[in-house]
Amino acid sequence: MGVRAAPAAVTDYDPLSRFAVRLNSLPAAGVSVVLAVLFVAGVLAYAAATLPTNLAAAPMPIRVASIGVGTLFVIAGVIGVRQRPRSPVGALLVVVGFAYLVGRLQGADPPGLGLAANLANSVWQGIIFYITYSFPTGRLRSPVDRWIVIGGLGYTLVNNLFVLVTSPTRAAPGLNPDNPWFLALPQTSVELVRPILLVIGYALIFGGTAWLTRRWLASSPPMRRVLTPVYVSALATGLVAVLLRATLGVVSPSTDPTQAISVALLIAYGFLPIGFLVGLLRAQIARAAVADLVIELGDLPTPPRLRIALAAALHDPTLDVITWSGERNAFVDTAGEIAQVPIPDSDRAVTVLERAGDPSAILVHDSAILDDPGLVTAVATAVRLTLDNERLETEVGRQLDEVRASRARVAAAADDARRRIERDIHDGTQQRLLGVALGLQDVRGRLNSGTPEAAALDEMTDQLQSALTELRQLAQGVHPAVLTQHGLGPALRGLARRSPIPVELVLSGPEERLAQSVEAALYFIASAALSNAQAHSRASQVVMRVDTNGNEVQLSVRDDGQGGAREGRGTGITGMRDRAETVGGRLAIDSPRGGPTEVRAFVPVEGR
Amino acid sequence: MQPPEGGAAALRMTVVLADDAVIVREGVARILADAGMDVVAQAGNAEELLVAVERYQPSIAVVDIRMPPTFTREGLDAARVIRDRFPSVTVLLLSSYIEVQDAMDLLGSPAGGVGYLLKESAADVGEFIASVRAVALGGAIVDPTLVAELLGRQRRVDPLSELTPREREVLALMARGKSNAGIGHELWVSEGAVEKYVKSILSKLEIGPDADAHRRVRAVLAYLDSR
Repeated sequence: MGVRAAPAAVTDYDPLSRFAVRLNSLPAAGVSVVLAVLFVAGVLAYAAATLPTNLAAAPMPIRVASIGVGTLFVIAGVIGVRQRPRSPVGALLVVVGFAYLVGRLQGADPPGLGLAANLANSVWQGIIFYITYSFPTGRLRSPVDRWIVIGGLGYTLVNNLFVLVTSPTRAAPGLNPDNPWFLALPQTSVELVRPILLVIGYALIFGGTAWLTRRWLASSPPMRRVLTPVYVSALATGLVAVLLRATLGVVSPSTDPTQAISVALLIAYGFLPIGFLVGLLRAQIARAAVADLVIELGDLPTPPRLRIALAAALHDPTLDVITWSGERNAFVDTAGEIAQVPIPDSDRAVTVLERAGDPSAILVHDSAILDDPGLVTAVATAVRLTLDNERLETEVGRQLDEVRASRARVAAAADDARRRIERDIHDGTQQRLLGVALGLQDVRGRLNSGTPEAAALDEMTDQLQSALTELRQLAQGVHPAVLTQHGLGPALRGLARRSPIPVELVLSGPEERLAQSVEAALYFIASAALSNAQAHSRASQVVMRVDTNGNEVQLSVRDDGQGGAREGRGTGITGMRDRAETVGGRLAIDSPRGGPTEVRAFVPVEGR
Repeated sequence: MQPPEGGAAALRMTVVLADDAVIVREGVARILADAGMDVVAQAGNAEELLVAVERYQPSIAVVDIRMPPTFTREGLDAARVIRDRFPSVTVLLLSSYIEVQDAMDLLGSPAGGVGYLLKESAADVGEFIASVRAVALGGAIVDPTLVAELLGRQRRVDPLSELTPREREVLALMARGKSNAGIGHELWVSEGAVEKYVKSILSKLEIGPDADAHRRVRAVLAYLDSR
């Protein structure tokens, strides 16, 4: 069964996130990889804190806070990777942390390092744009998202480079204070570019705010829970950065003339990894809720129950489950009515679950759920498990019914055959033999007694009579005619009469006829139980009871023998059990060593 | 149909035979004819039987219990109709197997003149002819095999154990429908002696005495079947 989601396939990640996911799925040696990442981050942080850079000129609290922010990004990223390995966000946060720490090397020598630090700043700021607008799926859903992210990356690149080349000095202690990347641009052009960059910054931050607010409003409640910490931290940071830096014309925290602004920015930066991590973990919680849902549904979650449970778990009361009915060759809703598959639009999404290439079920749900492909997969899994379970249950039940019906047919056919044999013996063979015997007697009557011929005829007649008696007893054993003619009670009375062990027969309840199959089953069970008592139990007395209890007939054959009857020792217990189950009943045998033995059969009055 | 042999036709027993198995029917007819009875009609089913009985009003109808169309108890039902509508016609029922219930049903007729025998017993000609005669004369006959089965039933606490061996013999003959005279004849004792045995048996088994022969048989059978 595959998952196909409309309007967009859930596996359609952007290249960057695909790369990140691939990174995540590398066979990682768990803790050692985490330690390696943190070690590299630590080395970078140490370098940024101790090398002569612009940052080194800042007061100690700012230096510590700066390194702390970078480290926070790395730690949040590591947690994200470990907690949600399928999301690209964790890995991207680690990259952000590294780039941020590299970015703290601004103003260092050689000049290439300073430039790399400048570019690294653009990298992490650009990634922040990307994470924010692709959260939580790692997928930029619309062209607007793509343009904002590209614009953001371009803006940070240009803005950072502009700041670098327009700053005549650097603050790194002990180094030449001249900024090696300073370009003596004409003042007029600098004055011209600065407000343009300012406007672009405003446009990005306010446009982005509007755009993300719109998306937030369109999201389902659980998705809002996921998005809120991300959007709030990202937009707040962006706002602080653009407003403060642009209005004051400052270039970076480290060269900031006022320490207060640097602190404000650092605090804003610090909220980013925390906000992203919280969003990431909340997305995971939503998915865990679906997993719990599957467990909670337990056995036999019928489609109506599944629909209600899913709707509750996803906070989407309009969620619908449409399943394919092979019998009716149509899609049916949970009420069993034939349903039309809706055409997906911006609000309603349709997720098709496939079995062997054919659609087996369709989820109609709020398209916001698609924002989290993991959630869709989890929901799809829940539905698939439910439907598979139900289908298997139905299938097994159907097969069991078939087997039962076929067993009942086999037993009925065997009973029919026995009845037919009995009739053939009585009405065919016996009549012929008797006819011959009578013919012999007729001839005998014309002979004088005392002749050898007469004696021979008498002898033959005797033989024939013995044969007739044996034949009658044989027919009786094959299928007693009295059972067909008079029913269970008289048949059991005959059984009791012929038993070598004394049988106390207690027939209670009205002696009305039961279904032919039930009478045959009970008779043969009684007969087999009695044979067992005779053959194995050394019993001196048997009590046979038949009670009709509501819709159930109970047969009990109890002896006072030595007990210890076990199935599968030629005792015919399996045969008795089969006989009982064939007519929808059951057999219970109580035979402790030392006795007594009681065989009980419980059979529904109408049989199967 | 056999032509009457000689005069005194009124004293001759007339018989209607009903059995779907021709070979048996013919055989029985020959035996009865050999015994000097007049088989006036043969029928292959209950319907033909009733027509023949109405037409010939025979002394006795010898009827197979299983006949077309259902091969179950057509003969028994026909026997009851005959005893009901033609009280002068007695019925001997023949069956491939014996069942107490059938015997009881037959003996439930308002008067005697009924018999219930295993079909195969017809091969024992002497006994069979005697049974036919006894029934035709208004007696009640039950197959000894059935009686033996009823008497042979094992009971741990058996009221029959109170009977003397002689009384048991008498009881078996009672159950088969023998009259006191018949029992005396069988056991080489006087009818009066039999009468004493019977009284003793009936009181030991707590069966009420009954003047009607067939009702006595029925009571004894019912007792034996229910114990």
